[in-house]
Amino acid sequence: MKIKYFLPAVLGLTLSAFAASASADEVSDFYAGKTINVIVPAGPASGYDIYARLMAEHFSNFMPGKPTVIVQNMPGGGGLKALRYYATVGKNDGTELLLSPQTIGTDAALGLLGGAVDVANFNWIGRFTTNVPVGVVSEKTGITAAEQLVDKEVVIAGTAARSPSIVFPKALNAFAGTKIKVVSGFPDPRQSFLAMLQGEVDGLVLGWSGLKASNQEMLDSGELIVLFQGAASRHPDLPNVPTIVELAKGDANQAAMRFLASSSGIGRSIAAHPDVPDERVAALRDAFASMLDSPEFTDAAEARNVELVDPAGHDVPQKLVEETMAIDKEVLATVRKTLGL
Amino acid sequence: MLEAAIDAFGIILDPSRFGFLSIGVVIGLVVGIIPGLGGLVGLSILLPFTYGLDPYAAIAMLLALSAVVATGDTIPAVLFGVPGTVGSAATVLDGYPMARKGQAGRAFGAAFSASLVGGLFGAGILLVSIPILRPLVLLVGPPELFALCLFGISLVAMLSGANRLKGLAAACLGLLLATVGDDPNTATSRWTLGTLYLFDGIPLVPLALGMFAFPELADLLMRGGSISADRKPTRLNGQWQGIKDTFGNLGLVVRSSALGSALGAIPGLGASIIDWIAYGLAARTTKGADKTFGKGDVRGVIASESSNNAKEGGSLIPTIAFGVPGTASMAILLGAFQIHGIVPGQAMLTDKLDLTYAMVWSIALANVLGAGICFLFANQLARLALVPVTILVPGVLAMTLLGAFQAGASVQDIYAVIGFGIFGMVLKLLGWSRPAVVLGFVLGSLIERYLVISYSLAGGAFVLRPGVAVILAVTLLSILLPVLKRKHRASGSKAERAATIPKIQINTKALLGPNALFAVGIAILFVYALFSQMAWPFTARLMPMVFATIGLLFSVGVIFQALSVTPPQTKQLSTVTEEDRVSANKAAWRGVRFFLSCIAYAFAIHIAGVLPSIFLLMLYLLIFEGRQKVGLSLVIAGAVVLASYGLFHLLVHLPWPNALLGDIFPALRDWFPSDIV
Repeated sequence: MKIKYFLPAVLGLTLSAFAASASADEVSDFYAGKTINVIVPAGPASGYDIYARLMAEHFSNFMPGKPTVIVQNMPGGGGLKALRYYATVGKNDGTELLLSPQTIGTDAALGLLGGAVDVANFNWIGRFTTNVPVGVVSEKTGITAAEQLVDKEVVIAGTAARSPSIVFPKALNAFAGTKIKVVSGFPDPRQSFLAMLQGEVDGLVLGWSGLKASNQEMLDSGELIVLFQGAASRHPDLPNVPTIVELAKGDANQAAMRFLASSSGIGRSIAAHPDVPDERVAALRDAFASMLDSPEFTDAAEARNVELVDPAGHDVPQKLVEETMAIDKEVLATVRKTLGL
Repeated sequence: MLEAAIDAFGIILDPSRFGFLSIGVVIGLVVGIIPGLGGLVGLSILLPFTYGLDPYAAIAMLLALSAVVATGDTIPAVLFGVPGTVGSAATVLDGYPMARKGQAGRAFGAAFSASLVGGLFGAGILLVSIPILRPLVLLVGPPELFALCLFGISLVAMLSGANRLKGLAAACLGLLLATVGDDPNTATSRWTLGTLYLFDGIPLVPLALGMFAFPELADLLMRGGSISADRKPTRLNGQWQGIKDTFGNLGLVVRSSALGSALGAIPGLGASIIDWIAYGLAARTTKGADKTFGKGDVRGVIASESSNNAKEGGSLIPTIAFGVPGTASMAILLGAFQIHGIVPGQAMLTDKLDLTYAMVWSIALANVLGAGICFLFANQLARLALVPVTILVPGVLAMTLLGAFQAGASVQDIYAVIGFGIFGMVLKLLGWSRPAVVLGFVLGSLIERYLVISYSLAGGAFVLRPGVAVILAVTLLSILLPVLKRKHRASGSKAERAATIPKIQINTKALLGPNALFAVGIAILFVYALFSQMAWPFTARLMPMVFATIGLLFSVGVIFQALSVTPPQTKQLSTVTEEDRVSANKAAWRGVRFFLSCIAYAFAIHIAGVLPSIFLLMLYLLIFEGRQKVGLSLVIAGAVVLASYGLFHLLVHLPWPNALLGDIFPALRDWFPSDIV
């Protein structure tokens, strides 16, 4: 390298290092003494809430300025309430973060969010875990594999019209040729679960991590059989259970399934408002990544039985949402029709 | 087994665990007392603090909190007519009239002792049903739930007050209101006005608080003085009388407790209907209830209070046995189970039996401790009934408004509570039963839900299931029997009967009276409901259609009733003096101003924020309506706002909506108390 390039290069490097430390100081100054609210789209002790609470305890240690982190529960409208609140009146300076409802991408593509929510430009921070809903049936049905659903009718209990408990069975009927009868209107998945134990229905769709935490016994004894998982790739616990994408027949149907399954990939991910300044977004992402890597965090998660499957940086949820929103028009139309939208 | 039970008792009595249990009790009482806050809020505040505890201590603290909420929530229900949680709404019906008669002490004595017995009963039920937990829970499926809800709604006649027809129309209105929101079966948005707020339906907390609290608060302001109407010092030794009442009605206590435990153990019904059903059943089955219930009969308080404390033990049954929470609070407890590595299921009845017994003991001890604390302070609390209402009302109003706001954390909750408050006042003035509306509301969505599920599972044949058939038969009998009895009694004196039946003769003057006009308005509402649902899918419109049609029939009946000529009641008119009329006018204006100031508050929150506006509202009511000294008023309003800030901002982390003031001067948001504008 010649001297005439060397000097400016050194100068440039020095300057940018200054700039970087100046912006780190700025970020640190900004967050010092402040509070970061994590908006949770569900109630206390829910499958979303446990992640936000864990973050509230640890995130501060990795964040410049050590802001206090608190959790605000905002359940309602299948996650839409929190999302709309965050997008419209939430703070956009980086002191408020959203634990995103996992259907954010599909809801946006299906046009359920309204114009005010600019999902495409959300600043993703990172993902704690994937969250996979699974389809289970009682052993009394005699069904042991998802393929049998094509020949034999089973009755599945579901909750609200747009929840995975109804969306996935309906999608299987449309794209994999199954004969599932969906009975909707159960107040929550645990209630559907009880109906299965009572023999009123044959099975249901519910989150794998919750099922594992509360009903491991029945899984071990074979009383419950997991038939399919609502994800694009198999959960490490369930290497022998097919995904709904695998069950779909033909490219177009698989594309539709991949679209719906994207929600479990988004799982439990944190997003920041589109207007948050870049340097704060960068600091938030770094802090999140360091937190996921730290043993204090992972140990606490393990102690509390909080599952961390494929934790990831911001690029994973970002890419998933982009892909989901870029869905082919025709496929989207089929999905809309299947869901009765 | 006995060994496990004794072991568990020792585990819970460990000083540090017992200490945590006591903390749970105190917090449970506090969230119970504050209107709008309940077990859910308390548990979510406390849950993060249990992470570091051992499972026994954590569960003891959470269960203790949850168990005594139903003891604490009696206090505002009796004193102010404001239910502390939605689970004690039925306590208001007789508890508040007792306080007005100067019997707050007696009502407390009865309520706390009934709560204690009920709570212990619930723990006992849990204890004895441990070996047979699992089959027990499997007995009640969606069809039986539907039948149970129908039985619940059949009790509405007991809650209708003096005018049955109005009560039935009011219940239909409640049922119809319950169908607002996104239909789970077809995703049809039913009367959501395009808002996300109504997507999950009208929330219960603003509805119940508005309907019960506002009319009573307005009434107190209009009347002035203190809550205890006769202004004699409240008899403080009344507590002992109340305890004697409870043990004198032990049959009723046991019946109501058994009902509370059983309904608590059935997942999918929810805590808010238990006290209603217990109250309604007591009103139907106790002697002379039709004359005294709703007017300050201690037995009404006993029925409601023993049932809502007994539910706790019951609701643990499905939680432990299957991981299916019996009530919303249990859902949080289930989350705590996961965090502490407690797995519901068979193991809880075998290997982990000591943990299960520890839960039984926690509930039992918490109830003893909770009732004990309440007895200790009951005298002081009862004295509140003697405090001038001009000081009490602004404070209770502030807690009611904030309680409604925290329930959903949206400004619409404030509009809703005020709107239902005004509506409740109209209902009260015109003699429409508010309890009937609330009963219809809490049962409406359950009836629809379980009817649709039962029908899609088995078609019409579900009514033939033995459990369903039995419950429906009992329901039918309990409706018909009183009617038949009355017929039988009346048949002997036909002439007498004919004389008492008013002649149907249309009184055109009454057409413009408030009674007829309001009934016409309600009828129009039902007609609108019928027409606006034409385009919905069949499943989405079935129940709204049924509710609206029946409601329309009843409200037309009310219209005719309002128009028909009744014997003139001129007796009072002659004694009304000019002076009385002037003071009545003044009182009425005070009521109007009260509601206007609440409406002004709903606007002010957008300018100055929710909390600062509460401060202004309280100052207005204290200084201008209550004629209190400015200094004292500032202290009272300031204390309430600061306490609310601590509770709602620092502990509950409630997000305050942005107000104009903060938009214009963003620097204000950094001041203490921060972020409230």
